[in-house]
Amino acid sequence: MVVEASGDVVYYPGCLALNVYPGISKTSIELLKLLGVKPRLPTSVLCCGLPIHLSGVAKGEHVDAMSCFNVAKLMGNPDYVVVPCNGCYLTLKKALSSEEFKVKCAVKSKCVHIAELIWANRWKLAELAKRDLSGLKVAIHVGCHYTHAFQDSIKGEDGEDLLEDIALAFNAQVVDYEERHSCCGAPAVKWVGSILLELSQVKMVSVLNSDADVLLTMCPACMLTFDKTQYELKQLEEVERMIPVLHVSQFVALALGLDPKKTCGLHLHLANPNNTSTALNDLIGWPPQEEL
Amino acid sequence: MSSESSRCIQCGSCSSACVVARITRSYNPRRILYDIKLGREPEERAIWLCLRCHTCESRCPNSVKIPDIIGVLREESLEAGRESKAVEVYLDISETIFSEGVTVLPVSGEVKEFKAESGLDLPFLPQEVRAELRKIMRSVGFEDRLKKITGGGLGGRG
Ligand code: SF4
Ligand code: SF4
Repeated sequence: MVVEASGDVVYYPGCLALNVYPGISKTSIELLKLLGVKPRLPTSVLCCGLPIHLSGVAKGEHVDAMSCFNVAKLMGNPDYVVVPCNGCYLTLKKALSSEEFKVKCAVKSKCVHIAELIWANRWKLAELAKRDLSGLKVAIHVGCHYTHAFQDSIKGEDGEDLLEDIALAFNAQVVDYEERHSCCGAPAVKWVGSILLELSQVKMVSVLNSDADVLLTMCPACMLTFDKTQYELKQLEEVERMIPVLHVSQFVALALGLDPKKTCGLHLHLANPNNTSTALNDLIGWPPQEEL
Repeated sequence: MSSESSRCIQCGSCSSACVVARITRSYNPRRILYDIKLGREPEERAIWLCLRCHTCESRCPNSVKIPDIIGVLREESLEAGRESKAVEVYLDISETIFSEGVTVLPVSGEVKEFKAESGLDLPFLPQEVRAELRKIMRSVGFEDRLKKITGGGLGGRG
C-alpha cells in the first residue's frame, strides 16, 4: 500500500486528541511539518460520529451526512485528511473509500492515519532521532478499529504490526504481553458497564505485569481507556504501578528530542511522568528544567 | 442483514476469538447468527454487549460482518422502542455534538492553556454553521429518529 499525504492536507484532530490529549495533535502536526507537509486545520471541529453510530443511535446515512459536512464544509475538500484516531479513521476512511459517497458529497479527499505516515517514513524520521530509546521497554496496542476493521490495514514488516516496526526503527525494545491483541474496551456501550469494565482491567493488568516502561498506541480513545483504567486500579490498590500511555506521534516526537511537556503535553495524561517512574523519565529528562 | 448472516457456516471461530464471550457466558456471536438463521429474535441483552470491535470478522472464514449485523439489530431495537436505556448516554452525546461540535469539551484549565499556546484553540461550531448542520441532519431523518427513540428531537430533550 502506498501511504502518502501531499497537496492540500488537513489535519483533523477529532474530539479526544483536541480536548483530552492535545499533545497528540501538537506532535502530529510537528511530525507532518518535518515530513514536508504543512497541514491546515478544519475551521471548527465536528465529531466524526462514531460513538453515536456504534451505539445504534445514528444510522449509516446519518453518519455519512456528518462526514460529508465535515469534509466538504469544515475541511474544504482537501486532497488528504490526516487523522490521529482509529475511530475517526474508521468513519472517514469508510466514507471516503466509497465512490458513491464521494460523488454524492462531491469530495475527492483520501483519509490517512498519522501512524501510517510515520510508519512509511520511519527510517527517515529515525535518522533525525536525538534521544536514544534503546533502554526503553515498550508494550504495544494497535487497536481493533485499525487492525480488524480494514483488510488493507498495514501489517508489520520487521515486527508484528506497524507500531512494532516504528518502535524498532527507534531502537526501543518491544515487550510482549498476554492480552496484546484484545480490545481495550472503549467501544463498550456504557449501559452494560460492569461486565465490560472487567475486560479493560484484564487488559491493563496484563500490560502492567509485563515489564513495559510505556504503552504505545495510535488511538486517543484506547489511550483514555487505559489511562483511566490503570488510574482507578491504582486508587483501589489493585496494581502497584502505572505507566505512561503514549500515542505514536508523542513517542516519535520524544525520540526526536521535542519537549515532553510543551510539545508532547505528557503532563496532561492521567498517568504521567510525575506519578510514574520508568526508564522514560531519565530518557526524556523529566522533570523539565524549569520545574527543578 | 439476512444475506450477510446466510454466509455463516456456524463454525464458531467468532465466538472463540470474541473477548466478550470470554468474560461472560451471556454473549456468543455464533448463537446470534444461529437465531437469525432460524428467524428468531436474538436475546435483547446480548446485542448490547458486543464491542463492535471487528475481531470476529477478521477471524471468520467467510468474513461475515458481525459488527454490522449487531448495528442493525440495535437500530431495530431502538426503532421498535424495545430498548432506550442502553443508549441514554449516547443521546446526551448527540446533544453535545450538535451544539458544541465535539463529544467532550477541554477537560481542564491546563488543557485549555496548552491548546491556546499550540494554535489548537479552534472555535466551536458558529451559530450559522450549527443551524446548517441541523438542517442537514433533519433532512436525512436524524431528527425524526431521535424523536422516535426519545419522544423529543435535537434540542428537544430534557
Ligand atoms: S466465524 Fe463466521 S462462519 Fe463461523 S460461526 Fe462465526 S459468523 Fe459464522
Ligand atoms: S465485534 Fe462483537 S462479536 Fe465480534 S469479537 Fe468484537 S465483541 Fe465479539
